Amino acid sequence: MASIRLEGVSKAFGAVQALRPTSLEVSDAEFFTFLGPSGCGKTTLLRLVAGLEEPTSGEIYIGERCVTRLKPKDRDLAMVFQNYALYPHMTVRENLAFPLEAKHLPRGEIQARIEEVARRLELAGLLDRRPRQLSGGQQQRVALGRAIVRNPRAFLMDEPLSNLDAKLRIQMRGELKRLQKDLGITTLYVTHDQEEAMTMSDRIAVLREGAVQQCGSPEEIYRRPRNRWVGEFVGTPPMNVFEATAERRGGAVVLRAIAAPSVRFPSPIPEPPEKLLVGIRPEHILIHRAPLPDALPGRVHVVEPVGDCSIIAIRTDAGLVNVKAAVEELPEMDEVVYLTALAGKLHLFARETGERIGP
Amino acid sequence: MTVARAAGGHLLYLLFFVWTLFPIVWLLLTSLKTRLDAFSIPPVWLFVPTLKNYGQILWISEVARAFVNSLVVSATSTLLVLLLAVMGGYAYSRFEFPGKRASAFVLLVTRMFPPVVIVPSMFRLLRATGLYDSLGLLTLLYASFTVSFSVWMMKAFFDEIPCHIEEAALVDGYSRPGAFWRVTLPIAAPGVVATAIFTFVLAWNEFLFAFMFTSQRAKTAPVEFVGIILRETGVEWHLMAAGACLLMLPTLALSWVIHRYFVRGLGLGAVKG
Repeated sequence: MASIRLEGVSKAFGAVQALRPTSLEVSDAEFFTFLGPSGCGKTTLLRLVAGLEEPTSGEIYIGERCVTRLKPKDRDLAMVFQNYALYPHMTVRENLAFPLEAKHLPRGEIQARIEEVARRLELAGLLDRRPRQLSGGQQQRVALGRAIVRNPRAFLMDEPLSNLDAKLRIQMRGELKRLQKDLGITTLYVTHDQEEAMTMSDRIAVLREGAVQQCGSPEEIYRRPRNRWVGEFVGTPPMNVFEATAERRGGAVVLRAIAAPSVRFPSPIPEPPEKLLVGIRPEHILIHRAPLPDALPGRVHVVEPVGDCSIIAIRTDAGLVNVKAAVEELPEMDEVVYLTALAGKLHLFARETGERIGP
Repeated sequence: MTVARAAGGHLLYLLFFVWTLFPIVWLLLTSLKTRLDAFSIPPVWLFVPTLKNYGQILWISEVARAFVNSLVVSATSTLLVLLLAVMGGYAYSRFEFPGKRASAFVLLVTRMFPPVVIVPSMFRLLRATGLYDSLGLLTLLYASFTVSFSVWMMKAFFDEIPCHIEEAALVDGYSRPGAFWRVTLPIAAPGVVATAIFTFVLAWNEFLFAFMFTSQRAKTAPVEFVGIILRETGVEWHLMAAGACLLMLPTLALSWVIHRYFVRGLGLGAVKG
C-alpha cells in the first residue's frame, strides 16, 4: 500500500501532446478516478504510472520511491485492463498463479493465495477452465483476482467495467468499491462513465485534452465545477448554460439572460462582471403550468420518464433547457410551461474563459 | 429448379475433385503395380497390388542417402528460419525502429524474383569457393529464400495477439523476454507450427537449387528421382511412382498437423482486440 505522486508528468507522442504537465497526489488507500471523454489522456496517465509508457517530462513516485525509470515489473503494481487481458492459453488457476510465479513464491503459498482469492471472488468452480469458457462477468472477476492475488502496492484499473452489460456493471461497481475498501489498497481508476466515477471514487480528476480540469471529491466536482466544461461534462443531463448580463437595480445586482431579457435572477455574488455565463443544473429548475413573473416561458420538446423522475427538454428563447424533475403530472409535448430556478443554485462562469467566478 | 441447381453444383465439385485427385491416385496405383502392369497399354485397372517397388527403391543406396539429405537440409533450414522468423516477426509486429517500413518491403520484394535468376552467378561463385555440392550450402540457400516470407507470416500471427496481454505480463512482474517466452510465444504457437511446416515443405519439395548446385554428396530426393526416370535401363515408372509417393508422405503428414493447428489457432476465442 502506498501513495502515488505525479510531479509535472507529461507525455507527447510525436507532435501530439497526450498529457500536459500534470502534478497530483493520491493518498494511501484512496480510490482515485481519472474521468474524461475518450482521447483526454486518462489511459495514458494510467499507463505512465504502470510503466508501460515513458513520460516525456516529470517524475512519478510510488510511496517515497521514484519509479519514473523503473520497468513495469519492478513497480509492484497490478493492472486490470479494459479487455481483461487474460492469458488465453492458461486456465483460471494458472492465470492467478502467473504473477505469483514471477515473485518465485513457494508452491504452497501460491496455492493458498489462489484459494483465498477464488473464495472471495466466487471463482472456486472455475479454476480449471480457460478464459474462452467463461462469460464476460466471470472473465472480469478473474482479471480482478489476478490483480488482488499478489497484494500489490496499488491497483490500476482501465475501464474494467465497460465491457459488461448495464445490470452487471452496476452490481460490479458496488462489489469493486467494497473490495477496495476491505483491502485498503490505493486504486487508480480510469473511466469515461461519470456515474461510475461519482459512485465509486473518494476523489476524481476530470481530464480534457490532456489537462486536468478539476480534482476533488465527487460532491465538490458536482456542486462547484471549476469551469463551464466540467459543469457540462459531469451530470446527466448536462448543466444548462446561457449568457447573461449583470445590472445594478437599486442596492441589488440582477442577472438577466441575454436571449430572454424577461428572465432575471438575483446575483449570488456582489460584484459580477458585466457579461457572464450562468449555469443551472436540470434538477434545480422548477416547472410551472401557470405564468409567473421573471419565469422563462417555453414549449415542451420531449419528455423522458426515467422512473423516479423525468427528464424534460423545453424549447425557450434561451435555447433548449433540460429539466430533471419528479413531476406528478407530466406535461404534454408542445405544452407551454414556465421555468424558474432555485435560488442559490446558480453557477457563474467567466464569458471568455469559462472559469468559475462564483458563488 | 433448386434440385437441378444443387445437382449441378455437386457435379462441379465432383469434376474438380477428380481433376485434382486423379494424378495422385494414378501415381499411387502405379506405385503398387509390377513393371509389367505399369507398362501395359491400355493401362490395367485391376491388378494384384505389390509393395515390392517400395522395398526396391529404398534399397537403392543413392535413394536412401537422398532421403536422408532431404530430411537434414529441410529440418536444419526450418530451424534456422524459425529462429529468424520468430525474432524478426516479433520485432516487426511490436517495435518501431528506423527503416522499419522500407526493410519490411525489401524483405518481401526478394520473394518476387524468380529463383532461377541467381543460378548462373551462384553457380560460378560456388564452384570458385568450393561450396558446390554441400548440405550446408543448400541449407543456407533454402533458409535465405524462405526467411523473408516466414518473417511476414510470423508478423501476421504476432499482430493478432493484442498488446494488452503482453503488457499484463509485464505488469505482472515479467521482463519483456519473460513475457514473450511465457505468454506471447505459447499463444503464437499455431503460427510457429504453420511457419515451420511451410518452410519445411518448401525445402523438402525444392528442385531447382538442388539440381543445379549438387552432383553427388548433397543430392536431395527430388533430384534423385529424376535420375531414376533417366536410367540406362529405360524409364522405371513403377519405381519412380513409389519414390514420389514416399516423397509426398511427409508433406501429407504435415498438412494434417497444420490443419489441426490452424483450427486451434482459430479457437483462441478469449483474445479480444
